[in-house]
Amino acid sequence: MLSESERKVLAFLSQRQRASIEEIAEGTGIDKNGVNSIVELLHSKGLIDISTTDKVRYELTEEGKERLERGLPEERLVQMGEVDMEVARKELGKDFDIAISWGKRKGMIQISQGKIIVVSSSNPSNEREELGRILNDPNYLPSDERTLLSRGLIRRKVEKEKKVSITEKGVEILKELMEKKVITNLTHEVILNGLENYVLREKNVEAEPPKFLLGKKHFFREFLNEIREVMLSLGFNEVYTGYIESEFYNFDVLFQPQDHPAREIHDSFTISGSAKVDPKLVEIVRDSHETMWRYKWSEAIASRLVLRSQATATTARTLASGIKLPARYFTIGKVFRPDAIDATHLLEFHQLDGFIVEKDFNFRKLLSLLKEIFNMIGIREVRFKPGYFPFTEPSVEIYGYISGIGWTEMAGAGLLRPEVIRISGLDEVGGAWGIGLDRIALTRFGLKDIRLLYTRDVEFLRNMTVRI
Amino acid sequence: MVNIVVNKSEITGKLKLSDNEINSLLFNLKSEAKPIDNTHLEVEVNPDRLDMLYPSGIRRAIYGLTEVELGEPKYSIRNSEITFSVDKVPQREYAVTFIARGVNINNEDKLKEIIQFQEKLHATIGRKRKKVAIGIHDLDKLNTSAIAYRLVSKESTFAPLFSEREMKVEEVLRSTQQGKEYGELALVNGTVPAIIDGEGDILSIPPVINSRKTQLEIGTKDLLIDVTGTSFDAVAKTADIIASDFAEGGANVEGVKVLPYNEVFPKMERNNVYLTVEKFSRISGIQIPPQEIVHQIQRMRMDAEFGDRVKVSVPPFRVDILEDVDVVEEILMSIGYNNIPMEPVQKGSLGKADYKQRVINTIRELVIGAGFLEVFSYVLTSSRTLHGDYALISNPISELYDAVRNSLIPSILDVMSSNQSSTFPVKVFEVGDVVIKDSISDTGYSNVTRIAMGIMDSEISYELIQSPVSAILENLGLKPKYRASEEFPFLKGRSSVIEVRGNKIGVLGEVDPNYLLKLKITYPVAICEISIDNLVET
Repeated sequence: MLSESERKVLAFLSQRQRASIEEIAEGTGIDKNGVNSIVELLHSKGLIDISTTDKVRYELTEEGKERLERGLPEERLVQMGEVDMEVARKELGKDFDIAISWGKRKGMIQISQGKIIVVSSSNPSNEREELGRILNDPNYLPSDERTLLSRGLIRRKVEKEKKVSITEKGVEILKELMEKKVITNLTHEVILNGLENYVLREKNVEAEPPKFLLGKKHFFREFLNEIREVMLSLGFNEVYTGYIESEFYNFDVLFQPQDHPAREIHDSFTISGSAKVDPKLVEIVRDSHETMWRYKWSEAIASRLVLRSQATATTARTLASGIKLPARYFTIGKVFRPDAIDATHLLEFHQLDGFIVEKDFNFRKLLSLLKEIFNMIGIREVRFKPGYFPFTEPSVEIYGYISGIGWTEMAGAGLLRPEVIRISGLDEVGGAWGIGLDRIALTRFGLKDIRLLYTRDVEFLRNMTVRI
Repeated sequence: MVNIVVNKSEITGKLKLSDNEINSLLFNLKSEAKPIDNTHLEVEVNPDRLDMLYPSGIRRAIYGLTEVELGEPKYSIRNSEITFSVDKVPQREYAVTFIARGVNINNEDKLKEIIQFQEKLHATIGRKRKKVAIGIHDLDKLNTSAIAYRLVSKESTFAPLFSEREMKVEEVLRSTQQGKEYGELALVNGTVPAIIDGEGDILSIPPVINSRKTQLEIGTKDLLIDVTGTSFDAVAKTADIIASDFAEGGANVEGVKVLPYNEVFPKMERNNVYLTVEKFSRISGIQIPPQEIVHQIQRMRMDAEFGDRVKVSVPPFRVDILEDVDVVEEILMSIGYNNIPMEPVQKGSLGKADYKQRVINTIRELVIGAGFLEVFSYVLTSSRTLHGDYALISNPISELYDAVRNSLIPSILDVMSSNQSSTFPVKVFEVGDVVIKDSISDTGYSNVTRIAMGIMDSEISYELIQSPVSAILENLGLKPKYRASEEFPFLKGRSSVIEVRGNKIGVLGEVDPNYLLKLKITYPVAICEISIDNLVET
């Protein structure tokens, strides 16, 4: 089908035999470049013929320009009147010979006894008039171009010129177009009536479309889901517990002494109120703390409420809830710590915590499992550094290698201390770990600012590409 | 982590080690080092290794791993003739003193390292001086005929460190930096604990400040160290650690008898821990012969002998070794964690997914099908955006985050408020936990998972949110009923409660424009919030 401009050009051509690009441009109001490409398009559809003709034009040479301004040499000669040859030669310089030659030929002068005699002071031909017209109108064709060319006053140029004419097919199409209704979009009615009875306007299908607002999943939530799938595939059951936790599960069950620096008020968010703690568990925990850490353990401190500062609180709760062997559990959840908010710190972030208690479990198996988990979430190189956590022994810090950043601390782990396993009523070897997920996610998505994981900026989310 | 600055030569001793070699040795000791200049390192020490807070303690550990020396170094401790009388001091019951001769503070680095040792012990085992505080005195400047620990009145006078003049204890507590910070720990009923010398001069008022009289300086040779605190064990252990590290550094330690306890301190107490080879293998997962176990323990600077089980004598400076599993860690550290061979992971059967998580993911799919973009917000928020009961943080660090959200509606409105110049319509949703009061829960609070969807456009209507919500619920096989309601923050006649089988599962409607304006939102918004917990239950 034809575009609006194509129709215009075709309609213009139907009014005349042949037309040049300039003429079409003038007649349709489309600029010359536009006309050129439309003409090519129509030609390719067989709706017009294009013929090319030579077009001759003349233009002034440098000499021509000078003669136009100052006069031809013979004209200048006769203006001197009767004059001695040598005086005229001095006056006209290199033009002297030309002046003598053309003056004689045109019968304007005679030479007698070394003197120039003026016969007629007016030039019988009109070279300068012609030169003037050529200068003003590039299309002007002089009547005696041969003399002007031979005197080197003008030069000849030949240009190709497109002439366009409508073909029979073009005439037909145009006729059809004039009779049919032009529509922009297909409708039920159009399809029923048959598209052949309409002219469906073509669109610029290569142009950028308007923005479409896609509904999609949040990239960080999907990352967390991926981690969840990894843990399920490794045979771990998922568990969840609440954000508000008693110090008992956040610290005491995890063998963290009540005067431990990490339990100070500025290291966790506190909530007013107090938790009910199971008296049986209280006795087990009191005994562990008082025997090993040698201080007076306080139930009042243990029942204070905090926003959990480690997802290990979920491990503590799950252990205490009574588990059966083999036990493999994990949780993915938010933890909260007072901190200054910046590109690398937030008040809340995600941890993957897991534990395993089963027959024949050991430290070597724990390290192997951790390496496997990290491999499965895309961290291929890991290094183990001895570490310290109150609830594990041996303890290990896991460093992962990130290209461009280097070795980065990513997790803490270890075998659960006997004092911690004890709360489950089991006497087996168990391992536990906690992995900070936000920073791993940052490297996965190539982001530098941790706040972008929780951005409110809808445009950022719309523009975020999906990782496959 | 505790950071200390040390002179490199102090920790390498007779060894010639590059920074890289130092670092890889320290890596296996839970530490790391960063060079500060050509001669000094900043060492990050794990807080369980109090013995490594002084350079000679680090050197002792490095000597073990490089096998320059093996097993526990035994320091000979002579009994001094001086005695220490400890009176009844209720607010700070326990005190010991001892002498370290030949510490020889002959340069600035040494002075700094000693003061740093004292400060880092205060911060760790000392629990900011509350549990343990240390005073270090120039022995030559005090009269040793009768050193005592007793209460003195706040009217007593002495010249504290860095002060030109004598002042009353009460003024010291009020006007000095240390007095303001620690005075509370000392002052009870107008009295403070004090260490007094034979001339009756106050040498220190623990845990606040020492007297100027016994100030350490370049040229000080011999030291008197006092350790006071509220836990006898912690006080005794701290004395053992300081004595061991000074002795390792070349000092001669002399024990001082504490009269009422009738014991000499430092006690240099050793505990025995027993580890069977079987238990080592069971816990570690690696098999090594008993001789090898003994050797690795010796590399960690402990004595061990092998009988029917390995008997480990825990040196006085190791407070972190409580039982056999701690020894297992020591052996593994000596071997190097990264030398433990990996083995294939037994995956077991597929783990059990939480049913609610499956519901959540199904609902997310449906909501995305309805063209909503998922957002993910903070759980903490400003209490000013919340209504009804919620958990308030008692020690917030910013009023923007002083409460735990009890609804997702504020989160969605927050997103809307910051996207008024984004391309419309803004259609977003969030699935997340909120915290509500719950008398059945042991903490009095419970997490509840909810989903909220919101639409903001230049023009909206009730049906615009109701219709996708209906479609989603119907796809879940539920038949929602809508009952007119006037819940905050919705507009009357434009909002309802969603019920499924007679149970309320959520709310939806157009948000009251007056409330929108309060949030500086100038475009209409419709929101729906549904409790996924309630959905799962019905």
